Amino acid sequence: MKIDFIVNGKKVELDTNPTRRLLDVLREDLGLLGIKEGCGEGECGACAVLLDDKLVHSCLVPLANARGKEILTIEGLKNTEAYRIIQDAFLDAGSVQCGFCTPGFVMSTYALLKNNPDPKEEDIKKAISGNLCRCTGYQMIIDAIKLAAKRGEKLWKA
Amino acid sequence: MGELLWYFPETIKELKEIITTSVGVVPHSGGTGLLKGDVRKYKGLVDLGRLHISNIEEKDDFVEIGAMATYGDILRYFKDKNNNALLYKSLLNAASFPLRNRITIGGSVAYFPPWTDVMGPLFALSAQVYLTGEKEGWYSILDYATNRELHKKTVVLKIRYKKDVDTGRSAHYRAKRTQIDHPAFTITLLLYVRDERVHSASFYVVGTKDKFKRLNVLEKQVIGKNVKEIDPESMSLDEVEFYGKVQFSPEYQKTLFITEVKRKLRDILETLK
Ligand SMILES: Cc1cc2nc3c(=O)[nH]c(=O)nc-3n(C[C@H](O)[C@H](O)[C@H](O)COP(=O)(O)OP(=O)(O)OC[C@H]3O[C@@H](n4cnc5c(N)ncnc54)[C@H](O)[C@@H]3O)c2cc1C
Ligand code: FES
Ligand code: FES
Repeated sequence: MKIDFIVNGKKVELDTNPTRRLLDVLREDLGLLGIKEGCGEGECGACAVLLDDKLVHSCLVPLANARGKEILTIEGLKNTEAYRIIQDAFLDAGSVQCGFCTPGFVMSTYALLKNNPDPKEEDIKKAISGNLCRCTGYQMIIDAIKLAAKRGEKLWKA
Repeated sequence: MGELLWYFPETIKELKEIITTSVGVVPHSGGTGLLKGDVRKYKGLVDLGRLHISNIEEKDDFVEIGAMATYGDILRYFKDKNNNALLYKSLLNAASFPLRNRITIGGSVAYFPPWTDVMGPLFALSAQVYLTGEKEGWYSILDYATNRELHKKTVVLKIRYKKDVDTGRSAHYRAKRTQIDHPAFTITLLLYVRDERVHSASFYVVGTKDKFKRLNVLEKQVIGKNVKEIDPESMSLDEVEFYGKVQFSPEYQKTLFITEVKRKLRDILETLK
């Protein structure tokens, strides 16, 4: 079945099995390897992308369901000011160890700050409730998000 | 995985045609339940995403919620309007943020897993579901949850409950290990007080051996009583049994149930004294 959708601003049309997971299509067919598979069950958030501007787990989205929609992956965010601010904040707060979970956390951070430029700690915890990290213990990630909110104040509020 | 047929109806008429005439074809809403199971057992999936049935509105005396409204949509709707709404309280901590952007109310009512956060509140609110397909019309949520016949070749299009039913005092408890855990069971309490007396109550536990149970014994002990005279500690409770789950043993769930149902009732009563 032919399915068209937009990935990181570019129109894509694929002739493939529509029940394949969006996660697999993005990684295997489009080479977007920033998206990771942790659990494959909607628990860990390593596969997080924005689908029509909403944060979702791409392991639980069949490709057919993405038909006609816009997808933003970490690769699409990469050359933006928002990405630079989040990346620097994560590095400065020491919130990256093995790094496997980081792309997912970056997507969750972006989804949060875009809609809530001045989040309280409780909002941050809620926003990353779909992401698991086995290394950091979370506090450094929460600190990084606070830092990104502060440093990018003008950008998030624009 | 073998290739399933996908349908993308754009009108309710098209949807009805597909659902009533095709064999082995089921609706796909958020997909969070479907994709965790084995979809290969189906011949086809009907994507409900093009039907524009995710609207939430007040209509006459009712709050009406389109079946494709996600938990996230429901939370956004109630956030500024009424954060005392029972559905707001119950869905606020359900699943995780990205999952709440996918899980729909229609899919959850049809699927009804033991850990659902939405069924207890909908039972307590005496909600109704609107079906299309081989059956057409409004049915009580209790009928839909207990009568498998109503699931055959039908699709839930919307859910509604009376606005004034949601003006009582309410609480929703999730038996979980961590914040992101799905609950082993949930307790929903809704009661109405007039002149300091409880004039009606609607208490449910979901996730039991019988799937769910209305707590009639407890309800009877509060109805008609002055709120100052109610002592949850001394009340007898309905007999409730649980299966062992990944999180907790049956015995532990029973103990937790007894403790938490009394605690939540006490919390509500405190706000009334
Ligand atoms: C990791 C994880 C954690 C979760 N935690 C929670 C939690 O804490 N609390 C909670 O409440 N839920 C939770 N859920 C969601 C719950 O388990 C179900 O997946 C969800 O309720 C199903 O809704 P859906 O919209 O995704 O339905 P789908 O997966 O699309 O469908 C589920 C079933 O219902 C049928 N169906 C779908 N829509 C309709 C319709 N409109 N009419 C008739 N039949 C229909 C489908 O054919 C299918 O059989 C969690 C899910 C995951 C993956
Ligand atoms: S791989 Fe998708 S949530 Fe874990
Ligand atoms: S840094 Fe290793 S899992 Fe998060």
